[in-house]
Order: sequence, then C-alpha cells, then structure tokens
Amino acid sequence: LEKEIAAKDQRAHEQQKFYPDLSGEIAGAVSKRSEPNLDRDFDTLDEPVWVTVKRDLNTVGAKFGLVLFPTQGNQSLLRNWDLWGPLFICVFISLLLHSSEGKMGPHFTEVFTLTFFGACIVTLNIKLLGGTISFFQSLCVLGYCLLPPGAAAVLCKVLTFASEQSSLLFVIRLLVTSVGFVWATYASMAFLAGAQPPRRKALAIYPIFLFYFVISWMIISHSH
Amino acid sequence: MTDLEFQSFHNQVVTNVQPIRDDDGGTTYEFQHSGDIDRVKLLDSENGTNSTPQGNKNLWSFEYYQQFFDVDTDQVMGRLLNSMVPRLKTNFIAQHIHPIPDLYGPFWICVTLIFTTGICGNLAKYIETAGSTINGHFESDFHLVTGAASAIFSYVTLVPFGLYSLLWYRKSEVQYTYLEILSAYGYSLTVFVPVSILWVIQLESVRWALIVVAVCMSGFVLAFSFWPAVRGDKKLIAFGTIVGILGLHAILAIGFKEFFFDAALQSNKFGADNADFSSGALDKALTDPAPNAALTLNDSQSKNAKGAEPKAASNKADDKESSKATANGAPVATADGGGQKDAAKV
Repeated sequence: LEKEIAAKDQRAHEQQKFYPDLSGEIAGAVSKRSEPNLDRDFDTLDEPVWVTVKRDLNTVGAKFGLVLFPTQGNQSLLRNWDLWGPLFICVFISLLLHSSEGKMGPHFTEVFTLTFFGACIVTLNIKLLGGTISFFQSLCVLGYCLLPPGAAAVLCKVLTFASEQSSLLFVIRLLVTSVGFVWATYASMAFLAGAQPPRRKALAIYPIFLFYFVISWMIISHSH
Repeated sequence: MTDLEFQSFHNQVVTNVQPIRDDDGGTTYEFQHSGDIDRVKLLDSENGTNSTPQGNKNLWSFEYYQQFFDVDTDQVMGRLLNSMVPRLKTNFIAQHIHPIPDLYGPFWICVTLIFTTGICGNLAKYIETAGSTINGHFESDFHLVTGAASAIFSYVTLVPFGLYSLLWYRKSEVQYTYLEILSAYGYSLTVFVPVSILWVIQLESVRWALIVVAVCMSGFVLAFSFWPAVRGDKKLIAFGTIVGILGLHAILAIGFKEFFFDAALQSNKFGADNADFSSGALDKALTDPAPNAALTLNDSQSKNAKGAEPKAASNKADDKESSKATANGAPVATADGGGQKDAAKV
C-alpha cells in the first residue's frame, strides 16, 4: 500500500515536473503544485488489516505467477517492485539448505548472504555497465526469479526423504535442478535483457547466469 | 533582438529562481536577480567543465565507479584471449589494458574462479569417494568456496600493490597505475578457470602438466609486461622481480592443486583433522619459497609470509606432513628454476 502511495505521488510529481516544459509558463506550474489532490483512491486507513495483508499477498502471488510464465511484453514486474517476494524466497531456500553444526554444508547465514548479496552484486554490475533500470527493480526481478530453483530445492528434499540414496535419485535431482536453473535464467533475461545497450548484453547476462548456476549447485549438493 | 533576449531570460527565471520570484513579484527587479544568478551559474559550469573530463570525480559518487566498468563485450573478449597468449615484444598492459583499465573482467574472473574451484574440488572429491566406497555417503564441503575466495582476492589485490610500490620506490621508467596492474593480474587468472575444471581428472601427471602450461602461459604475459618497467634497474632487482612474479603465480597454482584438489585424498586417510593438516601443508608450501619472494617484493608480502609462519610452526609436524612438505618444496624449486632460466633468456 505504501508503495502504491509512493508510486502515485511519484507519478503526480513527474506530471508536475513536465508542466513547465509543456506550458512554458510559471503561473500554471505553481498553481498546480499548491492545489491539493482530493480525489485520490488510496484512502485505506479505515479498512481492516486483513484486507490490506490479503491485497499485498495477492500482488506478491501475481508476481510469482509472472515469473513462472515470463513474457517479453509483460513488464509490470519491473514497474511496481517490492522486496517481499525476494525476502520470502531467500529465507525459504536458506532454511532448506541449512545444515546443522558439525556437517560440511553451508549454514543459514552463508546461503542467505550468498543469495541476497549475490543478487545485490549482480544488480550493481548491471547498473555500473550503464543499464537503464533502477537498483530495486533489478533486485526484485532477480529475487522473484529464484522461485524455480526454490521449487527444485523442495522437490529434491522430498525425493531424498522418500527414498534411499541411489544414482537414479541423483540423476532425477540433477534434472530437476537444471530445469529450475534454466527456467530462472530464462525468466530473468526476459525481464532484464532489454535494459542493456546491445554491445554489453553479454557482459550483463554472464553474472546472472553465474548467480543462478551457483545457487543451483548449492541446491543439488546440499539438499539432502 | 531585444525580444529574443527577453525570451531566454524568462525561461531562465522559470527554471532557476522560483523561490526568489515568489517574494519579489516585480519584473525589473527580477531581471537583476536572475542576471546575477546566471553569471554565477556560468562560472560554476566553467569550473565544472574544467574538472570533469580529467576524471576528477568524487570518490563516493556512482560515476566514479562506473568509469571502471566502461567496457564492451568484444573488448573484454580481446583482453581475455590476449591474457593467455604470451608473445615476445608484446606488452599486455600497454597494448590492451592501458587507455582504460577495467574492473569488470578481474572481478568476474575472480568470482568465476572461486566457484569453479569450489565446485570442481568437490567433484574431484566425489569421484574419489565413489571409487573407494568406504562410507558411501558423500558430503560436499561448502567451505572450499570461502577458502578459495580469500586466497584469490588477496592474491589479486596484494601482489599488484607490492609491484606498484616496487615500481614507485625504484622510480622505474614505465610507471603503471595500481589499477592497470590490478587489471592485468585479474585477467591473468583467466587461464586457471578451464584448468581448474580439468583438474577434476584424477591423474597426478595431468595435473602437473596443466599447472606448468597454465603458469607459463599467463605468467609470461605478466613477465613480458613488467620487463620494460624494470629493465633499466639493477640486474638483481630486474631479474628478481620477474622471477618473483612467475614464482608467486606458480605458488598460487600449486597451492590450489594441493589444497583444493589433493586435500581430498588426505581426508579419506586421516579423517577428522584433515582441515588442519592440509592448511598446514599449504602454509608450508607458501613459506618455503618465501625468501626468494621476499628478496624482491616489498614488505606486504614478506609480512604475509611471516604471518603464515607461526601457524605452520604450531602445527604438529609428524613424518607424513614433513615428507609432504618436502614433496611440495621440490616442484616449487624446479618451477622457479625454470622461470629463472627463461627470464635469463629474455
């Protein structure tokens, strides 16, 4: 909801910013700015908390749906970003892959740091190469695209609980994880590839590929 | 003509001096104000244009870091390829890095190398355990990744710093900037990415052959780029620097092989205390040729080596370990000797 308000405000602000250019007269701009906007539709102070939470959950769910069926034209994931989905999925994967003391696997913090700050570094790389996308938009896309690897992690965990360790099981796990990896890479590229100048597309895509590859490797080697 | 001037003024007022205008109201007064502000702005912009093209950007601004990522795909590919192919009379830094040293290549090469080492080290271990089937249950060791990260990042940042201060201290003919040296060192690690994947092969001879080839390829690219810088100096320092560069490169490769790929062999035999054991062996391998390196390189490296020494000493040196350490020492010595001979030829 706050985000909606912020987006509305920003849009209104942008309109105001463009006014001087359009009219070329100061009087118009000043009067527009001082005039309070009374017909805004986000006055939701008196609604129940549950309604608010449900609406936010719906937005997050819709974004996860977008990731599962990515289309080049659908860019609404980029326009209204949020970090709830990335937070959920990061914590979820870290909990799944966490291994207790004395084992050789990663701890919760290690997985979480690697996924979250890995996404931050990949985003920073996109920005430094001159990408035309905001920091949080890219972070949001990378986080939401962790859904297929997350699903693969659940499947691997279930499979290991269900049956004995065997080479057939390993092959199945390998297949599931690689499907998740390809899916995540493809989805994130559908959203992010347009933001780069064509001469640098490969430079921006390689870190994304590496990021999902490393996460998939962690999933396949530590989800048992 | 006067009309035209008035128009432009009016625009300036609209964009720049709004708050003042609200208070004043009158048009003539406004003109004076905006005129002054225009002049000030003009001066400001002049100062601005003087400073920006020379790269005098604020250290905390985003643009400052953006200039190190100002590369295109084919440029990076060219640098990657040229960092692996040594050619006589070709200076990698002057011909490929020089106008704009980038940090994109070095950073992502290091990250790639960290993960290929971590993943392939585990893979090598997995193949070994599957062969012997002692415990049947394989557990991959995540902490290889953190170890590889600290080793690689300290190599890529500290060694160029040492070389930079050496060149600066000796007032050599060619002064490379720190970033240029850092960039060259980052790109010189490219060759180890495919090598670390090929190290999965469980043949000692193949692994050693790969080390020799890789170190020669990228090591000589580095040596050829630093030779013009140290050529004018005393013979001892000039050759010492080149041998130091090659030697440190060889130590990195051998340390990788011993620590990340051969340590798996030990862990099967010795069980729990394998981590201490192999790190001790690595420290020994690092400190053994230290006198050679310390001779030429500055304090930071020798300090490094000293820091590692007590750790190695505190480790209980049983028979196996000492024999392993000497086994490490011998190839290092031969590699250095080879490097010296080749450097002498140059």
